[in-house]
Amino acid sequence: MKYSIERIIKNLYRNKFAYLFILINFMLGVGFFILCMNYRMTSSELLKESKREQAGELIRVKQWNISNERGKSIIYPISYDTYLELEEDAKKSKDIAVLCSLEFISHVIAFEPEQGFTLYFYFMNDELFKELYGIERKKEVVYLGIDAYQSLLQMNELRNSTDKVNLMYIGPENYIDGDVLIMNQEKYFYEIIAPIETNTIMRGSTGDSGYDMKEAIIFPIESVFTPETSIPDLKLNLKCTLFFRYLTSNWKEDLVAQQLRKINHANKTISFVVEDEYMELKRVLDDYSYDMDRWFFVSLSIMLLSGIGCIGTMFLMLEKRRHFLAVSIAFGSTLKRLVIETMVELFTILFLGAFLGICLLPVFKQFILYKDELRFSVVGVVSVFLIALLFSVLSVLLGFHQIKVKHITATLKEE
Amino acid sequence: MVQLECIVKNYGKGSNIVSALKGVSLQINQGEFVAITGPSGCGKSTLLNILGGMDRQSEGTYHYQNISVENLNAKDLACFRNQKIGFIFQAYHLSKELTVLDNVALPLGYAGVAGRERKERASILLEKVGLSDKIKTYPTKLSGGEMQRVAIARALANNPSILLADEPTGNLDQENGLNIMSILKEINQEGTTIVLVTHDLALAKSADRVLQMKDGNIVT
Repeated sequence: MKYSIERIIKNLYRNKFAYLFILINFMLGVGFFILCMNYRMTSSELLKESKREQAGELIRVKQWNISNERGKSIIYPISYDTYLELEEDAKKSKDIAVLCSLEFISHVIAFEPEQGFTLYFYFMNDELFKELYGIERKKEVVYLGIDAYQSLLQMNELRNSTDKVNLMYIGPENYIDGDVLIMNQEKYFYEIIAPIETNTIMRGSTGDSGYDMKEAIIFPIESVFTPETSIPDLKLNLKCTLFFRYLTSNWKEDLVAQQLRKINHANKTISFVVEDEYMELKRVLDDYSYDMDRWFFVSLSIMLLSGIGCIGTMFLMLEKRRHFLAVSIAFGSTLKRLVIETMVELFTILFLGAFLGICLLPVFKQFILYKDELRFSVVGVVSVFLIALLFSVLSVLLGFHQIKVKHITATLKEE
Repeated sequence: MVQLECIVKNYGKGSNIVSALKGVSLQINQGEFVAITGPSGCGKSTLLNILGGMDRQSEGTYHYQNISVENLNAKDLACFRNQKIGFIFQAYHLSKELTVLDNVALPLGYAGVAGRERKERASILLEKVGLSDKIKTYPTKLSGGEMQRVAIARALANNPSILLADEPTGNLDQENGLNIMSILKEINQEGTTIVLVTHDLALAKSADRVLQMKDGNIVT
């Protein structure tokens, strides 16, 4: 150990010029790396502030609300923070929620306004499903196709003629525009409600008979649950939520737009439009983010160049020391010992370079930093020393691999 | 002391295998002075490298005293080279970056000898080979004969029981060659076993036993 330390010190002295080059190289690398990272960090915060200021309440969603407003469009703002939350939410999950309230459970799913179609959603337990349809439900969700609504009514009528528990419902004769409501039978049904205003709207295109879109899906009764949302804009009086897997890869739509659609569904509306001017704002903000990310890549490139410089110098230095290393092995050293000694030598220099690089930061900061703000995070400093360690290991291992010193006899025969 | 049995050393792979040693068996006794001669490429140096633990045989067994050398791991083999073997090379292989004293002290450092003692022992060895006035000199300032004497001092640093000399006089004039040989004889008389590889039959004759090698085998 003592002899190793002695050798390391002597080797540092003997190779002082090469090590000085590595030290300066790494010192500047670390300095600029931290400055660029600092620039990115501070500009990231400035960017958020700037976006909040610029976007604030300005991002607006225009909705065509057919259920509540009967086709009137509503424009309402969302805050930039909500925008960010929605964006984050969209990254985590590609699910689009169809939100239902107890008062109103019918839906129109409209990916595009002109593609609107109606679906009936029923929540039913397995027992009732088997009773009504005479077959086991093998999948959680059952699509019943066209006329399912009518067939369900018929089957329920038959059922009511027996002595079984009567499934109460409000049929077409009792409710607006033929809507059906079966309630208070939560064991079997949660609710069945047919479209109300939706059908009124759709009737426009299908004529007075207008009930020809009657596909239905039956969900397990367990699908009904109370939704939770942390997004302030979505705090609605919701009683149950149904999630549909929305294939974003096929639709290739903007994730934020999808999440806005989530709001759209929460408000039982058929469509939304983000006004062009706000899309432009989004584009400008995103471009700004891209500029900022460049600094991150610049900082990485600086470290990469520094690493290449370090590895190259070690290659040359080890090539020069090759004979000495071979003699050392012949007289009692091991390859492992020599590798470790060289790593310690290099790490000492890189550690010193990193330290000096950090010390010199205040000198450089005025050239790069926003508002001369210099911030040190423990993670940043630790990562610089980890990079130093990584470079040491990588440079020495690659260098030893390059000079093939383990073939001692061959190395000694070369002279 | 040294027992080699059916030592084979192959280089290369597959159809490109070249056998440098083809089943060499050899016994060397404590205190012997053995000279190995033969034409270039007959396997003398390969045999010496295997004896010194710088290379491993492809087949066969090598026992040094009671140590089975082929079973030593890298660390133990390094220790074996350091403690039991002394090397003298034709090209000296001194480090140009170290002083004469540091060159001689190199094996002592790996043996864990402390700094002051290391220097003292290295100085004594240099005195023994007549170079006590050159301890702070760098090898580039020395003549060939002096460099080889430094190499002998280095080889003796850890007081090895066997000294392996690969053409130690090959780069020297006759006078220096004889000088080196007399040092080696002296070392041998003190009880150190010496294995000398040489082309020079006249030098070989000064050994107790001469082994003639040809095509990877010992013929006489």
